[in-house]
Amino acid sequence: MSLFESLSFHLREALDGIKHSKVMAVATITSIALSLFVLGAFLLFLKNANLFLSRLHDQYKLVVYIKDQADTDSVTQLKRRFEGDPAVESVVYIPKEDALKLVLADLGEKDWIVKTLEKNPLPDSFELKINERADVADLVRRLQSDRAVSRVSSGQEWVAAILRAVLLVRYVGFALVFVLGFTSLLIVGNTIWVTVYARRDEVAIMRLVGATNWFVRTPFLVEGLLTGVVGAVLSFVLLVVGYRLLLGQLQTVAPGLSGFAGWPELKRLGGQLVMMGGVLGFLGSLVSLRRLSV
Amino acid sequence: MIQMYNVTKTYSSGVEALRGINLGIKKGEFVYLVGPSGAGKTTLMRLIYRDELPTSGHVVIDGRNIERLHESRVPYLRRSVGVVFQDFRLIETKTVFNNVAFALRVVGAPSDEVNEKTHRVLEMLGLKHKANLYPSQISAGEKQRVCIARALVNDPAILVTDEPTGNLDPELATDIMRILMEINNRGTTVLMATHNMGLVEQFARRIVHLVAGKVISDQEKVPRSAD
Repeated sequence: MSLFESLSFHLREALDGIKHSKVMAVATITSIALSLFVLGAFLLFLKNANLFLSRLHDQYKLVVYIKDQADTDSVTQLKRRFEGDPAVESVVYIPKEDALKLVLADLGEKDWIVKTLEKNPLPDSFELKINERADVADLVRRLQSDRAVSRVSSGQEWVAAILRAVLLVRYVGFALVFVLGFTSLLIVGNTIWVTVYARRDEVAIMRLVGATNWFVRTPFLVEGLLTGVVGAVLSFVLLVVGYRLLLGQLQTVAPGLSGFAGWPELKRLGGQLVMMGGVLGFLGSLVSLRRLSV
Repeated sequence: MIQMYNVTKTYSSGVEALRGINLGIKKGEFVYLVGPSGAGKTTLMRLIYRDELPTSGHVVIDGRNIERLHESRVPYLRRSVGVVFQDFRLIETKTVFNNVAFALRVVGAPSDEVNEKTHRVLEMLGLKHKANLYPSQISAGEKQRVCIARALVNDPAILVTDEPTGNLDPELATDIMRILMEINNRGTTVLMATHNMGLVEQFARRIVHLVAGKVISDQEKVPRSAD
Protein backbone atom coordinates (compact mmCIF):
# COMPACT_ATOMS: atom_id res chain seq x y z
CA MET A 1 0.00 0.00 0.00
CA SER A 2 1.49 3.36 -1.01
CA LEU A 3 1.52 6.25 1.45
CA PHE A 4 -1.34 7.94 -0.43
CA GLU A 5 -3.37 4.72 -0.45
CA SER A 6 -2.69 4.24 3.24
CA LEU A 7 -3.70 7.82 4.11
CA SER A 8 -6.85 7.69 2.03
CA PHE A 9 -7.73 4.28 3.55
CA HIS A 10 -7.40 5.59 7.11
CA LEU A 11 -9.36 8.73 6.21
CA ARG A 12 -12.16 6.61 4.70
CA GLU A 13 -12.13 4.36 7.77
CA ALA A 14 -12.38 7.43 10.03
CA LEU A 15 -15.29 8.89 8.01
CA ASP A 16 -16.92 5.46 8.03
CA GLY A 17 -16.53 5.34 11.80
CA ILE A 18 -18.23 8.73 12.13
CA LYS A 19 -21.00 7.69 9.72
CA HIS A 20 -21.74 4.49 11.61
CA SER A 21 -21.66 5.97 15.11
CA LYS A 22 -23.40 9.25 14.42
CA VAL A 23 -24.79 9.65 17.95
CA MET A 24 -21.38 9.30 19.55
CA ALA A 25 -19.80 11.55 16.91
CA VAL A 26 -22.41 14.22 17.65
CA ALA A 27 -21.76 13.78 21.40
CA THR A 28 -18.01 14.19 20.87
CA ILE A 29 -18.42 17.19 18.57
CA THR A 30 -20.84 18.82 21.03
CA SER A 31 -18.57 18.25 24.01
CA ILE A 32 -15.57 19.66 22.11
CA ALA A 33 -17.63 22.60 20.81
CA LEU A 34 -18.91 23.48 24.30
CA SER A 35 -15.50 23.12 25.95
CA LEU A 36 -13.86 25.27 23.30
CA PHE A 37 -16.71 27.79 23.39
CA VAL A 38 -16.07 28.37 27.11
CA LEU A 39 -12.32 28.49 26.51
CA GLY A 40 -12.74 30.76 23.47
CA ALA A 41 -15.09 33.13 25.31
CA PHE A 42 -12.56 33.41 28.09
CA LEU A 43 -9.69 34.01 25.65
CA LEU A 44 -11.76 36.71 23.94
CA PHE A 45 -12.48 38.38 27.29
CA LEU A 46 -8.77 38.19 28.08
CA LYS A 47 -7.90 39.71 24.71
CA ASN A 48 -10.28 42.61 25.26
CA ALA A 49 -9.07 43.16 28.83
CA ASN A 50 -5.49 43.21 27.53
CA LEU A 51 -6.36 45.64 24.74
CA PHE A 52 -8.05 47.97 27.23
CA LEU A 53 -5.19 47.81 29.73
CA SER A 54 -2.55 48.18 27.00
CA ARG A 55 -4.25 51.34 25.76
CA LEU A 56 -4.18 52.78 29.26
CA HIS A 57 -0.55 51.74 29.63
CA ASP A 58 0.40 53.34 26.28
CA GLN A 59 -1.01 56.64 27.45
CA TYR A 60 0.96 56.56 30.68
CA LYS A 61 4.26 58.44 30.91
CA LEU A 62 6.55 59.19 33.80
CA VAL A 63 7.94 62.75 33.69
CA VAL A 64 11.32 63.47 35.24
CA TYR A 65 12.02 67.20 35.72
CA ILE A 66 15.63 68.40 35.69
CA LYS A 67 17.03 70.97 38.08
CA ASP A 68 17.78 74.33 36.46
CA GLN A 69 21.30 74.26 37.81
CA ALA A 70 22.05 70.78 36.47
CA ASP A 71 24.98 70.78 34.02
CA THR A 72 24.98 69.14 30.56
CA ASP A 73 27.15 66.27 31.76
CA SER A 74 24.73 65.16 34.47
CA VAL A 75 21.80 65.42 32.03
CA THR A 76 23.66 63.26 29.47
CA GLN A 77 24.53 60.80 32.23
CA LEU A 78 20.90 60.66 33.32
CA LYS A 79 19.80 59.96 29.73
CA ARG A 80 22.34 57.12 29.45
CA ARG A 81 21.07 55.75 32.76
CA PHE A 82 17.51 55.67 31.42
CA GLU A 83 18.59 53.97 28.22
CA GLY A 84 20.32 51.25 30.17
CA ASP A 85 17.52 50.74 32.69
CA PRO A 86 15.39 47.65 31.98
CA ALA A 87 12.42 49.34 33.68
CA VAL A 88 12.40 52.02 30.99
CA GLU A 89 10.96 51.12 27.60
CA SER A 90 11.71 54.42 25.85
CA VAL A 91 12.95 57.88 26.75
CA VAL A 92 12.34 61.29 25.16
CA TYR A 93 14.22 64.43 26.19
CA ILE A 94 12.06 67.58 26.19
CA PRO A 95 14.07 70.81 26.51
CA LYS A 96 12.32 73.67 28.31
CA GLU A 97 11.79 75.53 24.97
CA ASP A 98 9.86 72.61 23.52
CA ALA A 99 7.88 72.27 26.75
CA LEU A 100 6.89 75.90 26.48
CA LYS A 101 5.76 75.46 22.87
CA LEU A 102 3.60 72.57 23.96
CA VAL A 103 2.04 74.59 26.76
CA LEU A 104 1.36 77.51 24.44
CA ALA A 105 -0.23 75.23 21.91
CA ASP A 106 -2.40 73.76 24.66
CA LEU A 107 -3.49 77.18 25.91
CA GLY A 108 -4.47 78.44 22.43
CA GLU A 109 -6.05 81.93 22.72
CA LYS A 110 -5.21 82.10 26.40
CA ASP A 111 -1.46 81.90 25.72
CA TRP A 112 -1.08 85.49 26.97
CA ILE A 113 -1.03 84.03 30.47
CA VAL A 114 2.43 82.59 29.80
CA LYS A 115 3.58 85.28 27.34
CA THR A 116 3.40 87.91 30.08
CA LEU A 117 6.10 86.08 32.03
CA GLU A 118 9.63 87.40 31.65
CA LYS A 119 11.32 84.05 31.40
CA ASN A 120 10.38 80.46 30.62
CA PRO A 121 9.26 78.95 33.97
CA LEU A 122 9.34 75.39 32.71
CA PRO A 123 12.27 73.03 33.39
CA ASP A 124 13.94 70.56 31.02
CA SER A 125 12.43 67.11 31.38
CA PHE A 126 12.49 63.48 30.31
CA GLU A 127 9.35 61.58 29.37
CA LEU A 128 9.71 57.89 30.15
CA LYS A 129 7.57 55.03 28.92
CA ILE A 130 7.69 52.37 31.59
CA ASN A 131 7.99 48.64 31.05
CA GLU A 132 4.86 46.72 32.08
CA ARG A 133 6.81 44.59 34.53
CA ALA A 134 8.68 47.47 36.15
CA ASP A 135 8.26 48.44 39.79
CA VAL A 136 7.20 52.09 39.32
CA ALA A 137 7.49 53.06 43.01
CA ASP A 138 11.05 51.73 43.16
CA LEU A 139 12.00 53.55 39.94
CA VAL A 140 10.57 56.85 41.28
CA ARG A 141 12.49 56.39 44.54
CA ARG A 142 15.72 55.80 42.67
CA LEU A 143 15.20 58.83 40.42
CA GLN A 144 14.39 61.19 43.26
CA SER A 145 17.77 60.51 44.82
CA ASP A 146 19.58 61.71 41.65
CA ARG A 147 21.35 65.11 41.99
CA ALA A 148 20.13 66.39 38.62
CA VAL A 149 16.45 65.54 39.24
CA SER A 150 14.19 68.14 40.81
CA ARG A 151 10.89 66.22 40.79
CA VAL A 152 9.31 63.10 39.39
CA SER A 153 5.72 63.13 38.28
CA SER A 154 4.62 59.54 38.57
CA GLY A 155 0.97 60.23 37.79
CA GLN A 156 -1.90 59.00 39.86
CA GLU A 157 -1.81 55.89 42.00
CA TRP A 158 -4.23 54.13 39.69
CA VAL A 159 -1.66 54.03 36.91
CA ALA A 160 0.53 51.72 38.94
CA ALA A 161 -2.57 49.73 39.74
CA ILE A 162 -3.22 49.34 36.00
CA LEU A 163 0.25 47.97 35.45
CA ARG A 164 -0.36 45.46 38.21
CA ALA A 165 -3.74 44.59 36.71
CA VAL A 166 -2.14 43.93 33.29
CA LEU A 167 0.18 41.39 34.86
CA LEU A 168 -2.53 39.87 37.04
CA VAL A 169 -4.92 39.41 34.10
CA ARG A 170 -2.15 37.71 32.13
CA TYR A 171 -1.02 35.35 34.89
CA VAL A 172 -4.53 34.45 36.02
CA GLY A 173 -5.50 34.15 32.36
CA PHE A 174 -2.72 31.67 31.61
CA ALA A 175 -3.62 29.61 34.67
CA LEU A 176 -7.32 29.56 33.78
CA VAL A 177 -6.63 28.66 30.14
CA PHE A 178 -4.51 25.76 31.41
CA VAL A 179 -7.24 24.58 33.82
CA LEU A 180 -9.99 24.95 31.20
CA GLY A 181 -7.85 23.16 28.61
CA PHE A 182 -7.20 20.28 31.00
CA THR A 183 -10.90 20.03 31.93
CA SER A 184 -11.81 20.00 28.23
CA LEU A 185 -9.29 17.22 27.64
CA LEU A 186 -10.91 15.13 30.40
CA ILE A 187 -14.45 15.70 29.09
CA VAL A 188 -13.49 15.01 25.49
CA GLY A 189 -11.32 12.05 26.53
CA ASN A 190 -14.26 10.44 28.34
CA THR A 191 -16.66 10.97 25.44
CA ILE A 192 -14.18 9.45 23.00
CA TRP A 193 -13.52 6.60 25.43
CA VAL A 194 -17.22 5.71 25.28
CA THR A 195 -17.04 5.78 21.46
CA VAL A 196 -14.01 3.49 21.36
CA TYR A 197 -15.48 1.23 24.06
CA ALA A 198 -18.67 0.81 22.01
CA ARG A 199 -16.49 -0.42 19.15
CA ARG A 200 -14.21 -2.71 21.18
CA ASP A 201 -15.52 -5.82 19.34
CA GLU A 202 -14.52 -4.24 16.06
CA VAL A 203 -11.07 -3.52 17.51
CA ALA A 204 -10.78 -7.16 18.68
CA ILE A 205 -11.67 -8.42 15.18
CA MET A 206 -9.11 -6.09 13.59
CA ARG A 207 -6.43 -7.51 15.86
CA LEU A 208 -7.46 -11.09 15.17
CA VAL A 209 -6.95 -10.63 11.44
CA GLY A 210 -3.44 -9.37 12.12
CA ALA A 211 -3.78 -5.58 12.34
CA THR A 212 -0.87 -3.91 14.11
CA ASN A 213 -1.69 -1.62 17.02
CA TRP A 214 -1.02 1.48 14.92
CA PHE A 215 -3.19 0.17 12.11
CA VAL A 216 -6.06 -0.18 14.61
CA ARG A 217 -5.35 3.16 16.28
CA THR A 218 -4.89 5.37 13.21
CA PRO A 219 -8.56 5.57 12.07
CA PHE A 220 -9.62 6.38 15.66
CA LEU A 221 -6.96 9.08 15.88
CA VAL A 222 -7.99 10.56 12.53
CA GLU A 223 -11.62 10.38 13.70
CA GLY A 224 -10.67 12.20 16.91
CA LEU A 225 -8.80 14.84 14.92
CA LEU A 226 -11.73 15.38 12.52
CA THR A 227 -14.39 15.57 15.25
CA GLY A 228 -12.09 17.92 17.18
CA VAL A 229 -11.72 20.27 14.20
CA VAL A 230 -15.48 20.19 13.43
CA GLY A 231 -16.26 20.88 17.11
CA ALA A 232 -13.78 23.78 17.10
CA VAL A 233 -15.30 25.30 13.95
CA LEU A 234 -18.74 25.02 15.56
CA SER A 235 -17.51 26.66 18.77
CA PHE A 236 -15.95 29.47 16.71
CA VAL A 237 -19.19 30.13 14.81
CA LEU A 238 -21.11 30.26 18.13
CA LEU A 239 -18.48 32.54 19.59
CA VAL A 240 -18.52 34.99 16.66
CA VAL A 241 -22.33 35.15 16.68
CA GLY A 242 -22.42 35.59 20.48
CA TYR A 243 -19.65 38.22 20.42
CA ARG A 244 -21.38 40.26 17.69
CA LEU A 245 -24.64 40.19 19.63
CA LEU A 246 -22.87 41.25 22.82
CA LEU A 247 -21.04 44.12 21.07
CA GLY A 248 -24.34 45.22 19.53
CA GLN A 249 -25.91 45.35 23.00
CA LEU A 250 -22.91 47.24 24.40
CA GLN A 251 -23.12 49.84 21.62
CA THR A 252 -26.73 50.45 22.54
CA VAL A 253 -25.95 50.84 26.23
CA ALA A 254 -22.70 52.82 25.83
CA PRO A 255 -22.40 54.20 22.27
CA GLY A 256 -18.96 55.76 22.84
CA LEU A 257 -17.20 52.47 23.65
CA SER A 258 -14.61 51.37 21.10
CA GLY A 259 -11.35 49.53 20.71
CA PHE A 260 -12.72 46.01 21.10
CA ALA A 261 -11.05 42.99 19.54
CA GLY A 262 -12.05 42.95 15.88
CA TRP A 263 -12.06 40.48 12.98
CA PRO A 264 -8.23 40.05 12.80
CA GLU A 265 -8.17 39.01 16.48
CA LEU A 266 -11.22 36.79 15.97
CA LYS A 267 -9.57 35.09 13.00
CA ARG A 268 -6.45 34.45 15.05
CA LEU A 269 -8.61 33.05 17.86
CA GLY A 270 -10.43 30.87 15.30
CA GLY A 271 -7.11 29.43 14.17
CA GLN A 272 -6.10 28.75 17.77
CA LEU A 273 -9.44 27.06 18.53
CA VAL A 274 -9.19 24.82 15.45
CA MET A 275 -5.69 23.80 16.48
CA MET A 276 -6.83 23.16 20.05
CA GLY A 277 -9.83 21.18 18.77
CA GLY A 278 -7.61 19.01 16.61
CA VAL A 279 -5.15 18.42 19.45
CA LEU A 280 -7.99 17.75 21.93
CA GLY A 281 -9.63 15.22 19.61
CA PHE A 282 -6.32 13.53 18.79
CA LEU A 283 -5.11 13.37 22.40
CA GLY A 284 -8.57 12.36 23.63
CA SER A 285 -8.55 9.42 21.22
CA LEU A 286 -4.97 8.48 22.08
CA VAL A 287 -5.66 8.49 25.84
CA SER A 288 -8.89 6.50 25.35
CA LEU A 289 -7.12 3.92 23.19
CA ARG A 290 -4.38 3.57 25.79
CA ARG A 291 -6.99 3.11 28.54
CA LEU A 292 -8.51 0.30 26.48
CA SER A 293 -5.01 -1.15 25.90
CA VAL A 294 -5.33 -0.67 22.13
CA MET B 1 3.27 -26.88 11.44
CA ILE B 2 1.74 -26.91 14.93
CA GLN B 3 3.55 -28.41 17.93
CA MET B 4 2.44 -28.42 21.55
CA TYR B 5 4.75 -29.75 24.26
CA ASN B 6 3.26 -30.55 27.66
CA VAL B 7 0.98 -27.52 27.46
CA THR B 8 -1.19 -26.50 30.40
CA LYS B 9 -3.45 -23.52 30.62
CA THR B 10 -4.97 -22.33 33.88
CA TYR B 11 -7.11 -19.18 33.79
CA SER B 12 -6.87 -16.56 36.54
CA SER B 13 -10.25 -17.82 37.80
CA GLY B 14 -8.49 -21.10 38.63
CA VAL B 15 -10.15 -23.07 35.83
CA GLU B 16 -7.72 -25.60 34.35
CA ALA B 17 -8.60 -25.53 30.66
CA LEU B 18 -5.71 -27.67 29.34
CA ARG B 19 -3.54 -30.24 31.09
CA GLY B 20 -0.34 -31.71 29.71
CA ILE B 21 -1.24 -31.46 26.02
CA ASN B 22 1.25 -32.96 23.57
CA LEU B 23 0.18 -32.54 19.98
CA GLY B 24 1.83 -32.36 16.59
CA ILE B 25 0.01 -31.38 13.39
CA LYS B 26 1.85 -31.63 10.07
CA LYS B 27 1.64 -29.21 7.17
CA GLY B 28 -1.43 -29.91 5.02
CA GLU B 29 -3.22 -32.04 7.63
CA PHE B 30 -6.95 -31.77 8.42
CA VAL B 31 -7.62 -32.40 12.10
CA TYR B 32 -10.92 -32.47 13.97
CA LEU B 33 -10.88 -31.40 17.59
CA VAL B 34 -13.82 -33.05 19.32
CA GLY B 35 -15.05 -33.26 22.86
CA PRO B 36 -17.80 -32.00 25.16
CA SER B 37 -18.29 -28.31 26.01
CA GLY B 38 -15.58 -27.13 28.39
CA ALA B 39 -13.13 -29.79 27.20
CA GLY B 40 -10.62 -27.09 26.20
CA LYS B 41 -11.10 -27.04 22.40
CA THR B 42 -11.49 -23.27 22.13
CA THR B 43 -8.58 -22.62 24.53
CA LEU B 44 -6.33 -24.89 22.47
CA MET B 45 -7.27 -22.98 19.32
CA ARG B 46 -6.75 -19.60 20.97
CA LEU B 47 -3.18 -20.66 21.78
CA ILE B 48 -2.58 -21.24 18.06
CA TYR B 49 -3.40 -17.64 17.09
CA ARG B 50 -1.88 -16.43 20.36
CA ASP B 51 -5.02 -15.02 21.83
CA GLU B 52 -3.83 -16.78 24.97
CA LEU B 53 -0.45 -17.90 26.29
CA PRO B 54 0.16 -21.29 27.91
CA THR B 55 0.64 -21.37 31.68
CA SER B 56 3.39 -23.93 31.13
CA GLY B 57 4.81 -25.93 28.23
CA HIS B 58 5.55 -24.70 24.73
CA VAL B 59 3.49 -23.93 21.64
CA VAL B 60 5.36 -23.68 18.34
CA ILE B 61 3.48 -22.39 15.27
CA ASP B 62 5.22 -22.62 11.91
CA GLY B 63 8.59 -22.60 13.69
CA ARG B 64 7.72 -19.70 16.04
CA ASN B 65 7.55 -20.24 19.78
CA ILE B 66 4.54 -18.15 20.78
CA GLU B 67 5.64 -17.48 24.37
CA ARG B 68 8.86 -15.93 23.09
CA LEU B 69 7.12 -13.94 20.37
CA HIS B 70 7.38 -10.21 21.03
CA GLU B 71 4.01 -8.41 21.33
CA SER B 72 4.82 -6.36 18.22
CA ARG B 73 5.28 -9.58 16.16
CA VAL B 74 1.90 -11.08 17.14
CA PRO B 75 -0.01 -9.42 14.23
CA TYR B 76 2.43 -11.06 11.80
CA LEU B 77 1.78 -14.52 13.31
CA ARG B 78 -1.96 -13.92 13.00
CA ARG B 79 -1.62 -13.11 9.31
CA SER B 80 -0.44 -16.68 8.75
CA VAL B 81 -3.32 -18.15 10.77
CA GLY B 82 -6.86 -17.71 9.41
CA VAL B 83 -9.55 -17.92 12.09
CA VAL B 84 -13.22 -18.83 11.57
CA PHE B 85 -15.60 -18.37 14.49
CA GLN B 86 -18.94 -19.95 15.26
CA ASP B 87 -20.38 -16.47 15.92
CA PHE B 88 -18.79 -15.13 12.68
CA ARG B 89 -17.38 -11.93 14.27
CA LEU B 90 -17.92 -9.76 11.24
CA ILE B 91 -17.69 -5.98 11.44
CA GLU B 92 -21.35 -4.93 11.17
CA THR B 93 -20.52 -1.49 9.78
CA LYS B 94 -18.58 -2.86 6.80
CA THR B 95 -19.94 -4.49 3.67
CA VAL B 96 -19.21 -8.14 2.87
CA PHE B 97 -16.51 -6.98 0.45
CA ASN B 98 -14.88 -4.68 3.00
CA ASN B 99 -15.02 -7.27 5.79
CA VAL B 100 -12.97 -9.60 3.59
CA ALA B 101 -10.78 -6.91 2.02
CA PHE B 102 -9.91 -5.60 5.49
CA ALA B 103 -7.71 -8.63 6.17
CA LEU B 104 -5.66 -7.71 3.08
CA ARG B 105 -5.53 -3.99 3.84
CA VAL B 106 -4.16 -4.85 7.27
CA VAL B 107 -1.09 -6.42 5.64
CA GLY B 108 -0.63 -3.34 3.45
CA ALA B 109 -1.61 -4.97 0.14
CA PRO B 110 -1.98 -2.48 -2.75
CA SER B 111 -5.55 -1.62 -3.87
CA ASP B 112 -5.36 -3.63 -7.11
CA GLU B 113 -4.34 -6.74 -5.21
CA VAL B 114 -7.01 -6.15 -2.55
CA ASN B 115 -9.73 -5.90 -5.22
CA GLU B 116 -8.51 -8.86 -7.22
CA LYS B 117 -8.01 -11.26 -4.31
CA THR B 118 -11.20 -10.27 -2.52
CA HIS B 119 -13.32 -10.76 -5.64
CA ARG B 120 -11.61 -14.10 -6.30
CA VAL B 121 -12.25 -15.47 -2.79
CA LEU B 122 -15.84 -14.16 -2.76
CA GLU B 123 -16.44 -15.90 -6.08
CA MET B 124 -14.91 -19.12 -4.76
CA LEU B 125 -17.33 -19.05 -1.82
CA GLY B 126 -20.34 -18.06 -3.94
CA LEU B 127 -20.64 -14.61 -2.39
CA LYS B 128 -19.86 -12.33 -5.29
CA HIS B 129 -23.47 -11.13 -5.62
CA LYS B 130 -23.54 -10.28 -1.88
CA ALA B 131 -20.38 -8.16 -1.95
CA ASN B 132 -22.11 -4.84 -1.32
CA LEU B 133 -24.46 -6.04 1.41
CA TYR B 134 -23.90 -5.58 5.14
CA PRO B 135 -23.72 -8.60 7.52
CA SER B 136 -27.20 -7.76 8.84
CA GLN B 137 -28.56 -8.24 5.31
CA ILE B 138 -27.30 -11.80 4.73
CA SER B 139 -28.14 -15.25 6.14
CA ALA B 140 -26.20 -17.19 8.80
CA GLY B 141 -24.74 -19.54 6.20
CA GLU B 142 -23.57 -16.60 4.13
CA LYS B 143 -22.07 -14.93 7.18
CA GLN B 144 -20.11 -18.10 7.90
CA ARG B 145 -18.83 -18.12 4.32
CA VAL B 146 -17.82 -14.44 4.64
CA CYS B 147 -15.93 -15.37 7.79
CA ILE B 148 -14.17 -18.19 5.90
CA ALA B 149 -13.45 -15.83 2.99
CA ARG B 150 -11.85 -13.36 5.39
CA ALA B 151 -9.74 -16.12 6.94
CA LEU B 152 -8.61 -17.35 3.52
CA VAL B 153 -8.00 -14.17 1.58
CA ASN B 154 -4.43 -13.88 2.89
CA ASP B 155 -3.58 -17.48 1.89
CA PRO B 156 -2.82 -18.50 5.49
CA ALA B 157 -0.72 -21.56 6.18
CA ILE B 158 -3.13 -22.60 8.93
CA LEU B 159 -6.90 -22.33 9.13
CA VAL B 160 -8.40 -22.60 12.61
CA THR B 161 -12.18 -23.02 12.71
CA ASP B 162 -14.17 -23.09 15.94
CA GLU B 163 -17.54 -24.80 15.41
CA PRO B 164 -17.91 -23.36 11.91
CA THR B 165 -21.12 -25.29 11.31
CA GLY B 166 -22.59 -24.78 14.79
CA ASN B 167 -25.18 -22.22 13.72
CA LEU B 168 -26.08 -23.77 10.38
CA ASP B 169 -28.67 -26.24 9.15
CA PRO B 170 -27.35 -29.66 7.94
CA GLU B 171 -27.36 -28.73 4.26
CA LEU B 172 -25.40 -25.51 4.81
CA ALA B 173 -23.09 -27.35 7.22
CA THR B 174 -22.25 -29.86 4.47
CA ASP B 175 -21.57 -26.98 2.06
CA ILE B 176 -19.17 -25.38 4.53
CA MET B 177 -17.44 -28.75 5.07
CA ARG B 178 -16.91 -29.18 1.32
CA ILE B 179 -15.36 -25.72 1.20
CA LEU B 180 -13.03 -26.55 4.11
CA MET B 181 -12.03 -29.83 2.45
CA GLU B 182 -11.25 -28.00 -0.79
CA ILE B 183 -9.12 -25.48 1.10
CA ASN B 184 -7.27 -28.36 2.77
CA ASN B 185 -6.76 -30.06 -0.60
CA ARG B 186 -4.98 -26.90 -1.76
CA GLY B 187 -2.40 -27.38 1.01
CA THR B 188 -3.71 -25.36 3.95
CA THR B 189 -3.46 -27.03 7.35
CA VAL B 190 -6.97 -27.08 8.86
CA LEU B 191 -7.88 -27.51 12.52
CA MET B 192 -11.61 -27.69 13.18
CA ALA B 193 -13.32 -27.84 16.57
CA THR B 194 -16.76 -29.42 16.35
CA HIS B 195 -19.55 -31.19 18.19
CA ASN B 196 -21.05 -32.48 14.99
CA MET B 197 -20.02 -36.15 14.93
CA GLY B 198 -22.17 -36.73 11.84
CA LEU B 199 -19.93 -34.45 9.82
CA VAL B 200 -16.81 -35.96 11.37
CA GLU B 201 -17.91 -39.38 10.15
CA GLN B 202 -19.06 -38.10 6.76
CA PHE B 203 -15.80 -36.27 6.07
CA ALA B 204 -13.42 -38.60 7.85
CA ARG B 205 -10.03 -37.19 8.88
CA ARG B 206 -7.71 -37.32 11.90
CA ILE B 207 -9.67 -36.86 15.15
CA VAL B 208 -8.18 -35.51 18.39
CA HIS B 209 -10.53 -36.13 21.29
CA LEU B 210 -10.31 -33.78 24.29
CA VAL B 211 -11.97 -34.34 27.65
CA ALA B 212 -11.44 -32.08 30.69
CA GLY B 213 -8.38 -30.46 29.12
CA LYS B 214 -6.64 -33.74 28.21
CA VAL B 215 -6.18 -35.58 24.93
CA ILE B 216 -7.88 -38.93 25.49
CA SER B 217 -7.52 -40.21 21.93
CA ASP B 218 -5.86 -39.29 18.66
CA GLN B 219 -7.14 -41.35 15.70
CA GLU B 220 -5.92 -41.29 12.11
CA LYS B 221 -8.72 -41.84 9.57
CA VAL B 222 -8.45 -42.42 5.87
CA PRO B 223 -10.60 -40.01 3.85
CA ARG B 224 -13.65 -41.65 2.35
CA SER B 225 -13.76 -41.74 -1.40
CA ALA B 226 -17.28 -40.21 -1.28
CA ASP B 227 -16.03 -36.77 -0.15
